[in-house]
Amino acid sequence: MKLPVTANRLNRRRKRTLAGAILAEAALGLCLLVFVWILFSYISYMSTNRIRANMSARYSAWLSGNGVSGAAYSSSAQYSFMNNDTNMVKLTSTKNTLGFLGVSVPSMILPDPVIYSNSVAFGTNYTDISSSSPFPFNMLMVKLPFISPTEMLTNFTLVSAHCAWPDVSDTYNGYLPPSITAIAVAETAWEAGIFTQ
Amino acid sequence: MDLFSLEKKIRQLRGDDSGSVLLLSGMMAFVMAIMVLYSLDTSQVIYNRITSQNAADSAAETAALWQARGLNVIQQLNDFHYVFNETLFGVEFGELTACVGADTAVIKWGNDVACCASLVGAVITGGSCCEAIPGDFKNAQSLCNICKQAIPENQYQVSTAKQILDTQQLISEFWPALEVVFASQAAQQSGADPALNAIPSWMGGAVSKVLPVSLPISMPSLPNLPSALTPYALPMTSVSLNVEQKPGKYWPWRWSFLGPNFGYVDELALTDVAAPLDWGIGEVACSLVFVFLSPQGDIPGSLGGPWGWKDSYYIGHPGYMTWVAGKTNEMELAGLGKLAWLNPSSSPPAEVNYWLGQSNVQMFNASAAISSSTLQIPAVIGLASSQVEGTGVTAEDESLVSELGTMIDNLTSKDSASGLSGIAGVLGPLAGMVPIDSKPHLIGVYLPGNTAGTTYKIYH
Repeated sequence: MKLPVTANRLNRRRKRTLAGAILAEAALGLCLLVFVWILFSYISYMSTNRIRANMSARYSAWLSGNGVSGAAYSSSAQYSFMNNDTNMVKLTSTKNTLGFLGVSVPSMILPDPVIYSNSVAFGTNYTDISSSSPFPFNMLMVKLPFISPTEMLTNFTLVSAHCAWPDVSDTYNGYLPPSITAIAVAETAWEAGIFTQ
Repeated sequence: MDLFSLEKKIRQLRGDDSGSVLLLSGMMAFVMAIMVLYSLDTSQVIYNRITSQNAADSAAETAALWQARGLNVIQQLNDFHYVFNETLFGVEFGELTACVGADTAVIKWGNDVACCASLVGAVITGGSCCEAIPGDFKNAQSLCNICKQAIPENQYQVSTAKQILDTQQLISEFWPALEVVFASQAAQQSGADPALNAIPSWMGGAVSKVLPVSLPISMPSLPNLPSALTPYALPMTSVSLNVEQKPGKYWPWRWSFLGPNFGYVDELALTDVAAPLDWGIGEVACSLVFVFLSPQGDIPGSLGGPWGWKDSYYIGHPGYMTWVAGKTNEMELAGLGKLAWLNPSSSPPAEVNYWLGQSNVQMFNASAAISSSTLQIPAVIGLASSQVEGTGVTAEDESLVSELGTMIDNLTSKDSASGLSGIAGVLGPLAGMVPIDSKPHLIGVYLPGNTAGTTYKIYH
């Protein structure tokens, strides 16, 4: 009668198998939770910095509009971002000319119709990841098997915002714009009857 | 499989708890994923709100900038007008007094006052007084030839003043368009959506939160609006320069460097000829000649006075402006709104029927995804107020006019404390045009949801 012995062995083997399965399930579940937690943390981190970038863009644009040099507003990132993150901030300023009805206004008509469009980007480019990128971007250096690196990651590692501010330095304080002079001349010609004759 | 085996299998499954941990983990991960997506949406709302505020601020500042520029241009034309009058007055004064001197020398002023007055009048009105005067005929005639130049000079003064005022009128009417166009572009480049989309979208969302109905709020349809004319920010207040033509009260020769009261003529002195002793020496001398002048002023009619004495100017100061810009509502970022069970339009949802009725219905009565979404990120707007600030060029005491809204201290204002006007800052024709220092400033931001009148100062 060896049957009971065999049954006991089978029971013990089955219990060991169940224990391993539970361990594997727990490990998988934990991995899933950790993955979502990392995703949550990263999205929160980048979302927060996107909002900070928006505030920083406003501040830098205002500085540009008020004649502050580029070096000065580059240092303004410290007011919007955490100190350790300021090295991941890039500010660019573009000087545009305002238009009237879709046509750029020549400076001869209205001097300085200038507006500064500033962009603030936070994060890192994909090409910079392999060199030196702080946490959490250095995690992207981990090579996953069967998954080749893709530049699509840049969309997840860089957030940006922009804001525009006019150049308020020139308020036509010390001179009359040429167009105004032209209006006065035209007014004089009108009074003289040149247009009606 | 026979029935016995099936029952045995069911018994085994009943006691089998394998897979439960993974199931729980999956459910928790799903809940956390939902939290992730909603945190993403929340951050997008905050981002849009900041963008809207940035756009509104930029638009308000841009409008104030162009308002300041327009006011400065008008002020400089005022200055030019004033200095032009002053300069011509100096020339005319010299010519007329030379003529008076000639008359006096020839007709022996002290012996025949009545005759003198009539002759002076004849001179000024273009008559040939000198030829009728006996005595030093030659000298008097040369002086009177100079004197006669005052007449065409005055006509030139009249026409120039009119041109200046016409130009100022054109600017005051046309300049607000520049404010609107440039403010809109500033809002666009700051990330705002077209205002005619964002504002109705925000209003619809706001109303639906208060009232149990959804009001079909929409702006007038402008389908063919060119992109260049699409407004990205709209003014909620007047964008007018708020200047108008008003008569001046002060004479052009009030030069304060000759003394605090030199040239000061108040309203009493203008109307009461019995008080000439209060006048400065310049007025006494001039009165001898100008009382004989033609009543036609630089600006004919009630606004004008003779010889630019009471020329009118464009004066005033603008109030604050409030601008609005916004972001329209947008689809939920992760597309959750496309899921039927999150879509409130699937009423009653099939899953509700299932859980409430415990009836044998399928979980979804349609496909899991639908085409349209009502789960959206709400529209937001930003409001910003701005005002031009500065010190008037014609201020006698800058501290009196340095308050907000007094960018132009007009040529007619009076300081109630001293009784003097504010034009003493112009020190004469050689001083040239004195620039005013007007700058645009944001004065406050009205945030939606706050009590009316609550302002939040922006300190830059």
